[in-house]
Amino acid sequence: MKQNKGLRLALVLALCASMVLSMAGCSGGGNSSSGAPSGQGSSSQTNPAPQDGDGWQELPDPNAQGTAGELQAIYTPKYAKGFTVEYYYGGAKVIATDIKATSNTEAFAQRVLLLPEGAVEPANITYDHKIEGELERVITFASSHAGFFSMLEATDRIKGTSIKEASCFIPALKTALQEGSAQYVGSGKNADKELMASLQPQLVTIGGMASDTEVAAKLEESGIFCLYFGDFAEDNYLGRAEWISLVGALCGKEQEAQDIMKDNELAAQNVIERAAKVEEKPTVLWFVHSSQAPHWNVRTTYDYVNSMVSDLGGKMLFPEGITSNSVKLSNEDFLPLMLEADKIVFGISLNSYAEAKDITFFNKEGQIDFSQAKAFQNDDCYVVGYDWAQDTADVRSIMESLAIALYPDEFSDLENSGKIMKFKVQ
Amino acid sequence: MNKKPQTAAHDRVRDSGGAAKNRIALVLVLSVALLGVCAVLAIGIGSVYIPPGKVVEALFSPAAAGSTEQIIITNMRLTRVIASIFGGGALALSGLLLQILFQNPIADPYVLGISSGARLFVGLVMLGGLTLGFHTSSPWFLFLGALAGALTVMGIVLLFALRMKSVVTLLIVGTMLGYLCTALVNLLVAFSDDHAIADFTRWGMGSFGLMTWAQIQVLVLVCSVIFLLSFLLTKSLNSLMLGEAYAKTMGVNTRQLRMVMILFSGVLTGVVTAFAGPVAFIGMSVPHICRLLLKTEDNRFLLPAVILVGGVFGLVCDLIARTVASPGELSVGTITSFVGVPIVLFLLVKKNKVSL
Repeated sequence: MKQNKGLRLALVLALCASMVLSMAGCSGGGNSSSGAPSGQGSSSQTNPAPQDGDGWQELPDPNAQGTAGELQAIYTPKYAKGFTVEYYYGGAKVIATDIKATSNTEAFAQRVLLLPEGAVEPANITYDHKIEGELERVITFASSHAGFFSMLEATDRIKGTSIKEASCFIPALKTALQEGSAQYVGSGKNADKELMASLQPQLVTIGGMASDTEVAAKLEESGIFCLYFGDFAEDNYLGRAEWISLVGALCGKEQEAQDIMKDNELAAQNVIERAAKVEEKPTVLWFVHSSQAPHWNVRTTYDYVNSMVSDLGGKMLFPEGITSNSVKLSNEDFLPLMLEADKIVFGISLNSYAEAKDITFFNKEGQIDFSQAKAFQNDDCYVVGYDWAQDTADVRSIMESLAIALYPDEFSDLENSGKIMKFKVQ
Repeated sequence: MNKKPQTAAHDRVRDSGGAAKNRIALVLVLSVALLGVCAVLAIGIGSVYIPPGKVVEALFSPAAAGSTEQIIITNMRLTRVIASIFGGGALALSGLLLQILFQNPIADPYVLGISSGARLFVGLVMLGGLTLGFHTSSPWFLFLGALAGALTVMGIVLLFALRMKSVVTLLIVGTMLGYLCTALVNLLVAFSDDHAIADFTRWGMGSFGLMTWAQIQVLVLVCSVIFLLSFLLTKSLNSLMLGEAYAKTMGVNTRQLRMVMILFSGVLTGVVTAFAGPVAFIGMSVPHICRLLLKTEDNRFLLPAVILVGGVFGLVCDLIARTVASPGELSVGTITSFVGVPIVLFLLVKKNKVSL
């Protein structure tokens, strides 16, 4: 009898311990119910702000003389931390990714050997997969990946995508979907693996969520190579955008990718310098609405959007003591932030909210009435653009758009591309 | 004089003579045939059209190795055909064992909290970050999480089963554990971010389509062993259905039998949930369908029928789930309910049409 009691006690203790451990690891972190909107985004995150045009590593000369198969250079991106490209004399390249773990995703590291036609395969190197010849058949399994190909004018290489035609805001890809030269393959766990296999992709670009890894495991079992992209794991907007350089290496368009990044950097510098001259800096509440209670998921300074807001002098609003990139708030905790914010940004495009005409669409339970918010009364409520997730490499548009939102008077000369737009749907 | 209840039950269990035996044989033969036909259809049908000749070639000709057709047929369709047959059969058998154990027609793996336990432990991994230093999103890690959850809850139920004689109390314990697991999952959800919740929700949409060959080997091995061992229990199960006292007089160690039933049920549910995610309704509906078709509760016939019909049911539902919304896919649990409810209702109405 005593043994039984002991066993039961051990089980209960083990379960309790599991719960405590797991709660400690919850990505949202425990919300301190301080209620006070006191956590005005301290710069707790290190942001590599755009630097002067220097610091760009020169791309290796493809015509340089050297022993075929010997390492010529290793290209290290300026902002992105998750990959490098090794160049070998004789034309071979190795893309080496090293993606850090996040609260929702594990770490990934892969090496892909690219052997364009006529290239010499280096001896004594390790790799997970080899792609011979030009990369011509790709399936992009995340919205941002398709955007990278689009910016490099390589959309014709996309034969399958997780973006539906109706919600595709990449013109060339939309046309391809309409014409059938690219196909929608489904998304997440329920993607059509048969269809993906029938497209005979040389490569499937994939994100890091658990459902993505499940799909990748199934595809890889069938000999279909999946390359994890780590743009989501970068904590800075320029770092996210610079994954275009990986696509550049895949497509042999390194110079074009670097040029795009240099333009991005220059554009960001310009708006940052102009914003620095503005004396009054706004507070920003950047949130998404969740169908799960509590309903308000507020971004913190640990989220990559802070790298944009803080570069432009804005201060993110969130409760004190949060060390995760977002925090879920109850109505009670959200209300003071909502009332205080100078600018309110709804962080999901309206693709899924066709009925939403303005931010009051999210009025909740009679307790959260956005029409009471200072930002609403000053017409300072915004929403990210329809193409937000599909165009992450276009830093120029994003930063100019955000600058217009934060400082409409000072940036009235700029044309808003719609990356961040007024939440007032006509 | 009225027939004694135990005698009536005895009739239900033992009424297997003449016409009844013919009916049982017919149902079993038809089930096997249907399973074969459905399997052929499921291998032949998909979102990508492959001519029948190519399908046969992909399956049997070494020359087709490495071709796209061969990859689709063997790595995508054949895997899910095997997974849905064994998964469906396993869940159905699990439901049958629990219904006999609790002598309750609505018992299934959800009632004992076994599925909820699997869901909780997967939630601990995906939402709670309980990684123990391992790769969290690896399919194998999720499998271990789900299996550990199912076995943990099953273990707790077993502990109670050792102490309690009443199956009703045990049923209540299982239900309570299910509620507790659900509450803990909700707690995790409340503190998790949207991406993690979305991922967890996707896991909750059961699918036989992502199992790899390595996982299928485990599934087939575990299920086959338990299927075979279950056949050894049929006489004891029949005795138990006639009452605990009767079973004891027949020399059945009822406590041991109950433990084995819970163990088998837990392992079957755990292994399916671990690989495919939660798949509802098969456990509850298939035993009913089989009883209504066979018109007997004799487990010597019911048990193989449940495994066969469970396999057919899983296979058909999976085929529907992956074809109706192509190139997307529906959760197989959605289809099992859509298909299963009308069948069970039809059979029930047909059986009771006089009283209706």
